[in-house]
Amino acid sequence: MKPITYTTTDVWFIKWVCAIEQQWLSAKKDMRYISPKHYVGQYIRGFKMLANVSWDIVYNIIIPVNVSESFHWIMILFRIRHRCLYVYDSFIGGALNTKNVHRHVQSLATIIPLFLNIPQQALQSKYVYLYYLDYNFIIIHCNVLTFFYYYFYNDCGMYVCAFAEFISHELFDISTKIFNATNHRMRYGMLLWDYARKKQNDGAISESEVTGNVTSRLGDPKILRDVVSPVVTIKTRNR
Amino acid sequence: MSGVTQEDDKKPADHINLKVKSQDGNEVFFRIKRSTQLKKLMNAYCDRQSIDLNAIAFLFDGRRLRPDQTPDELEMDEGDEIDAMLHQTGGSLA
Repeated sequence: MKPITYTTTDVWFIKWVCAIEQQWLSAKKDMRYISPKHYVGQYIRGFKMLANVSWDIVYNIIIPVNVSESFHWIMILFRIRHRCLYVYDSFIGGALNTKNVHRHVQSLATIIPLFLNIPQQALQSKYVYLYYLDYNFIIIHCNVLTFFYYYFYNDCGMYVCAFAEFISHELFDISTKIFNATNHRMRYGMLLWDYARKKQNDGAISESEVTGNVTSRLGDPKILRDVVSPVVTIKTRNR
Repeated sequence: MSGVTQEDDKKPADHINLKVKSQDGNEVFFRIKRSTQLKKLMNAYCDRQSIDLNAIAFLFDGRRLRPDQTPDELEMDEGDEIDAMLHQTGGSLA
């Protein structure tokens, strides 16, 4: 079975990163704020989301980012072995947008290394190379879809989904892939329709419809969920 | 406001204290019956913060809460924390 090479965060991750950065800076870079129990630390350890895995067993982290000041979505890819943050932005141009995007990227570049440098015992890492590194991120902007975007406004969210899909197939050089936003939008619509149809046929339920907890916020096992259709993947952790 | 009061001293066994934390770190404490639907807590929080209910997503353990769910149903523990996050939208040029 092919190993998992990537994981993702939810859309709230960047907000916690920005919030802890503010707190950390306000407290004159007090490292007591950088705790594995903080939400950011929990994402990294694979506890904050239901279908998340720990960052030390994958190579790539897909981070959807809402640049709220610009009413815009981008995707940031953290390639751990490259020590790079790749910024996939479907729109380039406009000093304000560039500034807003840069601010979010800088927040990630500042905060992630702090959490990765927490002593290894606390994170129970199996892969030493992820930690104890003097991280100094290289930031690469991949903005080459610009000319498509001009023809299909309001598609930044769709592009972020497409970027994530490409990366899940380990296709990183998305700039060379010519795709049409309208076709992709229709395809995603069809996939969602198909998913709903399968749910109806199989009597399955989505993650958001399930009751009960799988893990606590700090990674300790809680009460397991009720029996759920095998169509829905439920991840339990016992540490 | 029946069913939801803030920081009440009396703590019967069928009640639970929950904390709602906003993105900026502010915390509001609520005491609610375990069998009460969370929409009461959500409405109370939004009223207090003067925010439209539709502008906020309430998350528990990373999952979105539905207004019809109850603490019992979600197996919430005393002191559990609910995140109140602003919805994020995008799709236009800067």
